[in-house]
Amino acid sequence: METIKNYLETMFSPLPNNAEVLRAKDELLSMMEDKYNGLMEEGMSSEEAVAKVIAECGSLDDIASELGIQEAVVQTKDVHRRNVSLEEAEAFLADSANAAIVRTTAICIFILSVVPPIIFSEVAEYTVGTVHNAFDALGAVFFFIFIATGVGMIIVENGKMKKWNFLRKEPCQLDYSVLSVIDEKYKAQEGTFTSRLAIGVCLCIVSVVPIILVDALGGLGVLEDLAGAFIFAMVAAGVGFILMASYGKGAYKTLLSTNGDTTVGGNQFDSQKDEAEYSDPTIAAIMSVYWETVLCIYLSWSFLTFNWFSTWIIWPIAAIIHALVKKLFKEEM
Amino acid sequence: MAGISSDVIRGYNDTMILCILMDGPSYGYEISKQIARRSDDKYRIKETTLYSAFTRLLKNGYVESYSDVGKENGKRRTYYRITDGGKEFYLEKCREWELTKEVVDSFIFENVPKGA
Repeated sequence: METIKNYLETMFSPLPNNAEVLRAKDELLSMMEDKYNGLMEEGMSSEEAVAKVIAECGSLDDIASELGIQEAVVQTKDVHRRNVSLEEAEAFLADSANAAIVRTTAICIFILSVVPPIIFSEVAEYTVGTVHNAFDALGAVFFFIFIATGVGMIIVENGKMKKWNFLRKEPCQLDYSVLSVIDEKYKAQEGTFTSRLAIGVCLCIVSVVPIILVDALGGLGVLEDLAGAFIFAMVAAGVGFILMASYGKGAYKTLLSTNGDTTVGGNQFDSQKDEAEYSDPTIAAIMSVYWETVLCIYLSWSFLTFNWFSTWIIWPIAAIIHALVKKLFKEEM
Repeated sequence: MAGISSDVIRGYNDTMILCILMDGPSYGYEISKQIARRSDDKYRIKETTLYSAFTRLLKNGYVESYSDVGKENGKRRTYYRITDGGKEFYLEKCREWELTKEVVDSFIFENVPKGA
């Protein structure tokens, strides 16, 4: 029975995802199921019944004119789509996971590259003459070493991932059965991605806490400047979490949307669109200029109060409000 | 090798379905089984052809569809029943075929032994 379903899903996957097409698919499945059961009752074996049902099913051509999909049917015949097998898909996910770690580390190194100069110049404060200059120079040297390492890592990793570029460049297709397996994996991991994202954002927000505390405690000389370096360390960690979540999700997204967002095959899994449609037209109007408005508020508030150290908080708050509005008012498709 | 011309039979798929529905409402697989039975297994209609016919008949108002649950296994299916318009159309097609048959028959197996 699964074979019949897979066959039908694959046959329908390049078609546009509208009500008529879905209705056709459902009715055909129902008829084929009845036929399968009927043949089994007459004494046929399961394999024979499945083979007969599929052989006598017919093709998209027969229903093309009724569904108004002649164009889509012709198109699928012209465009040769490269089939991605389950092994390929899983290999892609494994490679992407490794690439994610390497790339994330590289970017964290970029962020951390400013830490050596900060620390070394701090140490240099307590020395004089050539030692002083030496320490300053050391800071700069480490800065460039960090940058070079990060760049090297990214270049090597990009080279490794080049073989997977076809997923984004060539028209590909995934069978229904492969898509279901990948989708299950994704759903299992979704929680991890979300929590990593949350941890990452929190770390970034909290990164300014040390310097606020040090400031409040009246500036403890050395600690004050080191606290500055600490911000970068925490931001690097936060960004690291965010990137791991983002890269991970991105790999699944690439696989799950190869069949095209608007087709039956691709769109069975959560819409990948980020633009939400709001049920209330007033809300929709406000939300379309949301981020520009937030930017205006941020700039005006900052210039009026010159309190840049506090006004940045408007961004996380704006992000939270945006998410809330989306959750409450989004039109259910 | 003789078979059924799909061009010709295509014009009468709707008629065959309407004929079966004259006896009472039915559903997809049951109708396809009837077609095979009545034609002595000489014609087996494909699921896609059948669905395409249903869509056409519904669009023209010759049949109505409704959702119901099968008595044997409790499966929910789409059932079809013929309308008055459908009954009229069926009669028209019957007359049309009689006329077509008469016309074409006068040219069949002329100057050629039957069963050649």
